[in-house]
Amino acid sequence: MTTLERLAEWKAVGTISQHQHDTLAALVRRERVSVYVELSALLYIGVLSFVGGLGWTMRAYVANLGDAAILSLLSLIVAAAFYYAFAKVGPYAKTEVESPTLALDYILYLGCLVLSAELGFIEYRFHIFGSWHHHLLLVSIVFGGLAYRFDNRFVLSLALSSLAGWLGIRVSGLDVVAADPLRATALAYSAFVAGLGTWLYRQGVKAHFHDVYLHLATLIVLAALASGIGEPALGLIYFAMLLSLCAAAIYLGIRSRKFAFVTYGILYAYGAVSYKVAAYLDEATGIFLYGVITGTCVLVALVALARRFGRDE
Amino acid sequence: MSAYELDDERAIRTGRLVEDWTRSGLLTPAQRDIITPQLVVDLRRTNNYLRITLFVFGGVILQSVLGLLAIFIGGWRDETTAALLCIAAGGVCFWLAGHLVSRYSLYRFGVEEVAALSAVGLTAVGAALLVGGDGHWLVTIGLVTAAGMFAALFFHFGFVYAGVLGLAAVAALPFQWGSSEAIDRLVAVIILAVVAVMARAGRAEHGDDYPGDALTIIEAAAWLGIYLLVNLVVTSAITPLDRSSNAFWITYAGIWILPAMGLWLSLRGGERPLLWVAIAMTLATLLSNKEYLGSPRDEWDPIVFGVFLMGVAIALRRWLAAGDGGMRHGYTASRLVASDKSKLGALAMVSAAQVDVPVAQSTPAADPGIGGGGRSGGAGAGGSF
Repeated sequence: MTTLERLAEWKAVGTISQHQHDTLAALVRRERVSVYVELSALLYIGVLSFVGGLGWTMRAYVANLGDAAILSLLSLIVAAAFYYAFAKVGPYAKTEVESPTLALDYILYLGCLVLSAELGFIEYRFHIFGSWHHHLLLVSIVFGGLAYRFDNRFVLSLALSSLAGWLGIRVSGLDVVAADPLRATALAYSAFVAGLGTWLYRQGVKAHFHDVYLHLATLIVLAALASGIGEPALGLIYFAMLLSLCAAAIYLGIRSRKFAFVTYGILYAYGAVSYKVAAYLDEATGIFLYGVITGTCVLVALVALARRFGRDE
Repeated sequence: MSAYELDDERAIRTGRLVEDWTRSGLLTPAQRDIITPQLVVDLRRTNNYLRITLFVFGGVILQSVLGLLAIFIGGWRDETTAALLCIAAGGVCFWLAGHLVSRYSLYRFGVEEVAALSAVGLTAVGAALLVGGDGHWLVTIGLVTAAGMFAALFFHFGFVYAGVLGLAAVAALPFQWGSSEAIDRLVAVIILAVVAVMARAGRAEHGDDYPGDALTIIEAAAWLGIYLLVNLVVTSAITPLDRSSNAFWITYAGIWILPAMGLWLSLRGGERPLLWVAIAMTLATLLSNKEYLGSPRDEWDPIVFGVFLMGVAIALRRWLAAGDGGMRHGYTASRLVASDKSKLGALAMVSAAQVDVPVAQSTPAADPGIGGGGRSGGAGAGGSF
């Protein structure tokens, strides 16, 4: 039975109204098609391309253009973007708010990226904050405020990655924290981000942002600990901490039906245990036997989990 | 012969739509609760996260078992024995995938998928080893077998990605025959064009209902493949650009004609996968145009490109919004269903790891125009400038 046939049947027995039937049938027959995602994607790519090109051009022509011209241009772009954003935005609400225009989210994102570049340029040229990237803390706070005011997840991601940058943690790419002090910083950062996100969630302030905080915090803390399990001095401590956090991620992920965290926990824990065990397995037979036995154990547990929770999430 | 009932496949897809419509406010939760029991199928499914994890660990077990078997059997010095064992193992994997579906009613559960994909790899390697020959002949046999197996997975299990991988295998075949590069590309384009036409014809009777939706993706993938073969800049890794050949300028026309055709076809029929491919083709054409013409790249090209994209998006939105009811020819810039928003939410989630805008470093380089690596990638504000 096709979807259209089912819609007709639901209308015939009175499950849905005539109006609902007409609306849904138009969607199924593609008589009404939304290009919201496509236009958003064009705006997103456009913003990234624009800002990337701006950085490239500045790098190539910084000597010719001079500081004043560059800063004036960047300031103009930032001012225009923020003017547009503040002119268009509706009143603040603690709950999720629909953007009044399609472009608003991306114009704001553009303004934030250019502001970030501008502050970076000022710091590069004039060393206002000395030897450390304190401008990243500044943009993190500003972006955090803007993310909540405009209900913008892109800007929230910028705020959190800027905060990580201020602490010396690289979020972009897949770089792994590779020194003990940085691992401790990564742990503190993750705890702070997860704690802040959860506190705001419990306060009911933009509760839909909660996942952004949790994903970022979890991925950073697990990557930081995993990168340390091979360390001669603190390796075992990192290993124990990683397994504990993986167990917590799996448990809390199941409890809250957020299975991405279950996947993180299982994969990191299995990877860490396998790394340790591999040191004692010097023959292919042992490695394959290990794969069969442990893989089967995990698979059985996963099947039980999948059967119990079906298609949740 | 499909491993699943047609009605089950369609009920699963309708179920997804019902969930989306409910989240979008087009159906009430009470209506959803009445409708959902009518869409229950006797298949075991799971969410995508557990599916991926099951896929990974299913793969770990299968590869380990195969490794153990290879060790225990040992002594297989000749290629024929190895080939026969690979083919046998491939057969067992295919049987296992089918058994998991028929016995345990698994549907997109990860485990049966990894077994089926292992069957493709093993059979293709086995067939290639069995026939032997020189490098090209070996690869040809492997690709033909893989294409056949992928097609079997697509038609039997309905794995759309297997269909797409099968297309890639078929398109790679002409490049093994050692003829001229232009002919290789042309033959591959013809093969993909035939697949695209067949997919379009095949889905005419189904519309968007299964298997029409799967065939739409196959058609879109074929279009993408054709474009990649035609655009010599994008696929310059296969063969270096030769601007002196006549074919070069034919392909230049092709990279403009294909996106236009794709846009026209997709917009005429409201076909989203093809629309995405058409947009991707258009962007690729714009990005490769300068290199095609041999013009030097300028630092501000990305700025122009970005402004162009933003301008097009905003102009289109305004044009659509100005139509009757915010719609023109059935198209609207407004969000109609909740799933559209969740797609952008996922994009925002990964944007934290994507953004690495080149800006200032903490210590100026000797030449103020040259930068180096920064400390962090936070918001891009600490990268190199």
